[in-house]
Amino acid sequence: MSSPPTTLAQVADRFPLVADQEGFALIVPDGTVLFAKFAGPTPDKVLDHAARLLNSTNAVTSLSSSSVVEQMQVEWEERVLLIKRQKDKSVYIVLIGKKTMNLGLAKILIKDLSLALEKFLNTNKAPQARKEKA
Amino acid sequence: MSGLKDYEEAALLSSIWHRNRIVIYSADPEASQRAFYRLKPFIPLYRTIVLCGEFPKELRYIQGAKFIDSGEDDVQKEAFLQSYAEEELGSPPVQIVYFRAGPKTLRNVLGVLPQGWMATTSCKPDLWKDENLKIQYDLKFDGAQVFLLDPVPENMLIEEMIIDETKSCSPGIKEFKVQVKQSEVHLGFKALLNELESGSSLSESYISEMLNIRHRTLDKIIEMGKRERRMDLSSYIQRTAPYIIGFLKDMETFKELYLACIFEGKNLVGYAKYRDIHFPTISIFKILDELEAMAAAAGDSGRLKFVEINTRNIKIILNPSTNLFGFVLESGSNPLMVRYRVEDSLEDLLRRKGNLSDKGGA
Repeated sequence: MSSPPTTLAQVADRFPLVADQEGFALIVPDGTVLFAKFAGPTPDKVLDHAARLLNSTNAVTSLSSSSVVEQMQVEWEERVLLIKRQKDKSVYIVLIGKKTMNLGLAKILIKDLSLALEKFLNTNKAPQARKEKA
Repeated sequence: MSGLKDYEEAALLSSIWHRNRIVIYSADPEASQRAFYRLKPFIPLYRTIVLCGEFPKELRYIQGAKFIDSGEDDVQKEAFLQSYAEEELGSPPVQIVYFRAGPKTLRNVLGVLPQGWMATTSCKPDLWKDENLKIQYDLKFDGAQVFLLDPVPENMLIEEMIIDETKSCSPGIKEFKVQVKQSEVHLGFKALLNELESGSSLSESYISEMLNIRHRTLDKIIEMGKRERRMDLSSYIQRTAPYIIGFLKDMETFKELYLACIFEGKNLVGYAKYRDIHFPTISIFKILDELEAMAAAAGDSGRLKFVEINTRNIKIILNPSTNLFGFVLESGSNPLMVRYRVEDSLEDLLRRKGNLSDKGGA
């Protein structure tokens, strides 16, 4: 049995990219990229834009409905972008792929990754909380 | 209002709002006065009330009211014509109220004004009716007879809605609802005028979104502009193409929909808000600009085809095809079902647009 992951990178590494997926990243709308895993070199500029996109979109939705982006799906002729907000956190999973990427598989990957992250964050938060209480 | 059918009350409201000429008749002057008090809440607050004749003292306290005390017909006529002419220069529209007018006053003084007056009289119509003063409609209430000297306005949808809505309300609430709508229309006209003076081009959809009004209120703004300022703004406002109106009406059946908007470039050419929500459609372009920048940074992304944004409360769908279509829906609706329905409706719209173009319409 493998030991539990101790870093975000270890959590993310357990999830292989699906076919035609270019990569995924964990980002915070303030622009911080917590982790990125891409088939090629990490496209920093693209992730910066993804953070700005989330920032702008959250500004729009907060104003009109007092709520932030939970999920987003964008389709271009040649590319697809999927974004999911991590439950109760301001961390977003951003997944980019080619148009031929299987969207169903990509969504399953995001869901599994999201669950693993939630588990990881809860496990790592518990000792911290206990420490603060003490 | 006691003794009046809803339609008649709406006709009275509409006639006063449209500045039609009205004569309140009763052999008992007190009864005419009472009837006037019943109609007074229908006079828009922004109008300058000009009181003449033997008016009740308490009316002196109406804010901004003017009084014409001179009994000489020529002086009065001159004063009325002058007030009427000043409206075109931007002074507030006047509402002349003449108490206890005699036949001569009705014919020679008020009769020369095409609109904007009401009078009480104890003289029977036979004594004052003439070519200019023909009774189009008469109705009775509170012991008086009210003669409408102009045809009842054809489009009274808003008036009928207010009367229906306030059927069981107190007079105070009814007055509030009437005055709010009248002020909205008045301010709407001023806003459009300012926009046009600043050189902006105006489309019906843009106005509808910016002023948060529906098509029928815009019609009323245009109509009241003609009646109160003798200005017809209709030719300056780009109307929504019929096929887009048809599409937006069809989308009404989509019960999850808050609003739909259609852009040609960055110009809003179609807009409908089905349920209350604050969503400035211009903010769509903030999102699209970021997406464009992102696609450019990623390279070889091609044209943007579809965007779906889900939040806890709303769902936003953007569909850039020949035009940009934006939809704001309730959250929780099945995303695929919604997407397919929207795409079907868009296909219908494009077919309709094609058909109408073939026939030379739209």
